[in-house]
Amino acid sequence: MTGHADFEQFVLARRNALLRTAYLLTGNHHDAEDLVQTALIKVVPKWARIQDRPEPYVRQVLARESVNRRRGRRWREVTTDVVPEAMHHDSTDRIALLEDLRRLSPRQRAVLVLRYFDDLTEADTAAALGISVGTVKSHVRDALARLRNQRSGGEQTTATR
Amino acid sequence: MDTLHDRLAELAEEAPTGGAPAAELWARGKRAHRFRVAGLAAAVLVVGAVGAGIGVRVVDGDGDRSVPEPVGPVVVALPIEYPVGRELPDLGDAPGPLAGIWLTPHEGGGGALGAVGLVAETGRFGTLPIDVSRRYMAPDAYFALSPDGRRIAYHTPTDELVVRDLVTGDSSSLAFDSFRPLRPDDGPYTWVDATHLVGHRASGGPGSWVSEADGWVWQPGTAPKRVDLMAYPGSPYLGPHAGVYEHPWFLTLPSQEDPRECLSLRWDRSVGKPVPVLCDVVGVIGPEIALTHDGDGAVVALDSKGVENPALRDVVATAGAPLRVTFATDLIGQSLDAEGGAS
Repeated sequence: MTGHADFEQFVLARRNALLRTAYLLTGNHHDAEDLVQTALIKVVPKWARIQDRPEPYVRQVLARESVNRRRGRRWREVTTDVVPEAMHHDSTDRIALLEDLRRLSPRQRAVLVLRYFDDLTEADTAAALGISVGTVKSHVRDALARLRNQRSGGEQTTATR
Repeated sequence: MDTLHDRLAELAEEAPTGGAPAAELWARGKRAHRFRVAGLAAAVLVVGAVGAGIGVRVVDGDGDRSVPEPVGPVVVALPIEYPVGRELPDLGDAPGPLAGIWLTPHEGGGGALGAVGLVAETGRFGTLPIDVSRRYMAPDAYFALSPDGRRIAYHTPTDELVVRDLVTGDSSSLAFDSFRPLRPDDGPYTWVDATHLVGHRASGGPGSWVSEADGWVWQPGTAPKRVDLMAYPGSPYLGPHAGVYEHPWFLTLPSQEDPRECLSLRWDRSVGKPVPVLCDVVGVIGPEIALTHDGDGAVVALDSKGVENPALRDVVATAGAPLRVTFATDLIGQSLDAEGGAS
């Protein structure tokens, strides 16, 4: 199979999974789509070398790009004049979690998403972000502490790992 | 009580789906990479030119000649099958970028050599109307196709070093006013990008120039200039300084033997076992891929990580072609989906 065909197959199979990770990293649809697209374009030149096992490298690019972007600007606050009158419990919980994630630093958020959503090990998370395992541990500890102190995290979240 | 994983998974259900077609992303990735490589090369060479005291020449009406042009969207189908024994058309002076050029003895020509090119845009083989030195029968005579396939540097029968632009058909004879005349076997010259040809005056035979500092650089529209190779920023892309040569299987110098036999074994004390050794590199693609003949006469792209692993070899040209060959390494690299590099 050619690199091009192999790439297309990967995109077809894994794009939605990457978009889910990207959505958690960015917090909105537009940025998630842009982040995934940028990551996929960036891995094309390396494809011949990663095509046997592309996902770890693609996720690495995705995570680092996310952190780098958010360093350059504060995460977008979504404001609205209209407060939903009857919000379903699930929706309320999701919005609360989204807001809690927004308050974390870019790297704390990335560590949390890679560890607790993508189920990466501490070592793999460290490799994906280019940081040490010790830094991963401290980011996890600090991020979980902040979530617990925030509205939604403290009430309902148990980190199992 | 939900775990954090459950809550994140629930939140992720709201993620968008779909996006731009994969083919478009692939094309954009390729395009961006080509421009990045060209930009990096330009930056390195501009900095280097200043550092080496060369200065950056700006030619009136023709822009900054130090900026290499990006490689065009040319696709070369691999493996290349050389048209053994077929009568070939004349490609003329300006066939366009070539993917590779082979030097081949003329039938009954009494030692005269001809050149056969592969047009990158059409995949058509043909003869090139250039007269090359008979010294090219020797294994260590040098000729070089630029990474983008646009320019060929070679020696004429009168030992002039000439660069032919294959797009315009123009030829430039390099005037080494302050150098002694060069011969094809007098040291290698390498295109470090599409417009910078870098050479060296060897004094102790092939390979001896590794430690020498005296070299020259030529750009279109200029005369060759002396450079200190130890300081020249393009040196990492030159022959023995290129990344692949750092691997133990490149430690031996080029062999005078038949290049088809160049993949041999050398006893490596450090690992206590024989390791493969290459002796005729006909192109370098990035820091880790070398183009070389295998034991059967085919040209293969060898990844430095896989010299002993047949799964990491790609056949670039099948066996049966003349052994003297130079490739447009960026074009071959694109076809291999590998990063380009110097020829």
